[in-house]
Amino acid sequence: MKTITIDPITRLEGHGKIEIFLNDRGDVENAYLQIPELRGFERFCEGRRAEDMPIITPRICGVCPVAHHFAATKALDACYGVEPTETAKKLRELMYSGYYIYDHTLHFYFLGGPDFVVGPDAPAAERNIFGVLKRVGLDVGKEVIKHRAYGQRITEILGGKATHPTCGVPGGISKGLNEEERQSIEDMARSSVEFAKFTLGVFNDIVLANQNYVDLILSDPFQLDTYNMGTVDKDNHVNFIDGDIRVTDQSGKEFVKFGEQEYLDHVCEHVEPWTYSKFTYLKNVGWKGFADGPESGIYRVGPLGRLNAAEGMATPQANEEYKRMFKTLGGRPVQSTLAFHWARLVELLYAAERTLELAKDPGITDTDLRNPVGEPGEGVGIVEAARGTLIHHYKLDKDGLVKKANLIVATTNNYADICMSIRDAAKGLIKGGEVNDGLLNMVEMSFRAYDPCFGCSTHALPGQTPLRVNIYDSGKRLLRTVQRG
Amino acid sequence: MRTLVIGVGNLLRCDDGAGVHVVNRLKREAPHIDAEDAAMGSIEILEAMKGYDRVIIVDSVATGAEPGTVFRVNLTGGDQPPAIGSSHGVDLVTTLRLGVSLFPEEMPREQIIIGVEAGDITTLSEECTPPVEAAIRRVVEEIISLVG
Repeated sequence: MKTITIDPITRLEGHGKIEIFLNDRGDVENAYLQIPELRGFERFCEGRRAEDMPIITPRICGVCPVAHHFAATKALDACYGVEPTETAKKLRELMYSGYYIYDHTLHFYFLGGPDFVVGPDAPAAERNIFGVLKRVGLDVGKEVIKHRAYGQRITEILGGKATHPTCGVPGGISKGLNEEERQSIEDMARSSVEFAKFTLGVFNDIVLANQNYVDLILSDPFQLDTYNMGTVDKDNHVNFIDGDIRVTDQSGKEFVKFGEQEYLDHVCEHVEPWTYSKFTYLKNVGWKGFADGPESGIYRVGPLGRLNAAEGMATPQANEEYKRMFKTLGGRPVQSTLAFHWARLVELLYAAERTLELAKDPGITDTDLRNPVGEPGEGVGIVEAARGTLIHHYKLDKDGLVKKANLIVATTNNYADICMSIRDAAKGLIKGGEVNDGLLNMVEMSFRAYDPCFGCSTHALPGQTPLRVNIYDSGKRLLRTVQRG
Repeated sequence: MRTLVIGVGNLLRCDDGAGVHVVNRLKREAPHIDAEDAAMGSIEILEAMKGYDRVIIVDSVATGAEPGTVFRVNLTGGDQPPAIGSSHGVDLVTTLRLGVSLFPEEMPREQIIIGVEAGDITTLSEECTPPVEAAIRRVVEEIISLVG
């Protein structure tokens, strides 16, 4: 058996390694994304004061700090049996929407977008932000930087430093909003709505107007017929921070809807010997290996998972875009991995619209920020990180110290899907042991769509070779190395 | 010459935090030097460096060299830019190139990257390994003598 290793992966938020196993004919047998080990998380958390968890967990991962901050805060709400005040709920959601604005903006223009905007067949050296700016213009680059900064400033106004938020406390939030800050957020939100619409326009003009791209989105190697999961409000509209978890099946029907405290009744973790990360699946369907279809409990999370698991968006313009996406791509669910990019932009518009709605809410400057907490116990907090459903589960002792902490991060929820997407893309693109740069690009596209973030990984990557492919023979001897950089 | 030192990295991830450790020590030992903890900061560092004449960015790297090895790259002095990857979206060299493209008048004329080769980047720890700790010490002294 031959092994192809792609290490490291370029433009991915985290350090993983892809290994593609070929059979004796040189065709793809299987593909795995390996995630590096994170040592000592349990020990690191045990014995800490519960209220430190919203401060510490964002720093462990570093890439989606606001998501971890509020997953931890919500877990503490549950541990202390307290419901946040109405104002606190609004302020949390407002800050959370700002996080989506900056995170989704970065992904489209810098990480995933280059594949589409510049083109999947373009040389690797051009498939980056500079290639994007060449297509859309330098002024757009300034707008990208500006609106990314707006998203960060919105989170900073409410939560302190964007990378180290501190405002979430059990039962509420530690800081309110004054009129001047509210006005400033309203102004930034208005601009962000226009920017999101502009970005959808870019996607429309460059991607959707090109039949080749639409055909690529709908092509077989990028289809994965899994269940979908996301958080919804009472109307089954997408919500990022509050609501029930809804799972829909391969025909788009509701499979189950559950409250965050019941996640263990529905979500299980499977272990494979070759990777440090676990694989989640639906308990009531079961683990059937790396397979899609209704018999396999694998589900998808993230922008596409959320839109598939919901019945619409709670803001008017995003809802129109939601309907347009499903109409264009053949109805709900859309199971094309590449549709994650479009779904992400629908969510960008929703986040901007929701920020504006909340900034204009007459109660947003109210000062009922916190409810008194009860006795410490056990609790679960679930939010939708930009990359997908994020679960924090803590057990506290009677003094409010952490006895046990478990996290299921978005990339874990999508891990089996990512491996299958890589395998399917590789199957269509690597034949008879023939591998070239263009083919590898397509394999990379299949997982980049998920915006994977290895919370358990380092940010430092090897310095000289952004992409290296090692090809081994069946005796694990290195046959050749192909690299670019 | 107005100089800004930026430290990038995750303080909880052992040697990965080298850049931030350097900044924290500069704040204590040489408070007259402008130093900023950018944490896992991405393209936002462009905003911080606007208006400075020189920027020194300290980050951890994993090139396979001996842990504690210090690399210096003067991007504006003709050095070949290294391909430093990044897990938090956009790598340093790309970020700096983008800054020069979009805001040519406001970017520092001199851009230096100091990379500290990491040993352990997977253990959750607020302390670095001994060779990286020694490298942090050297980098702090080097920056103080360079900036004055």
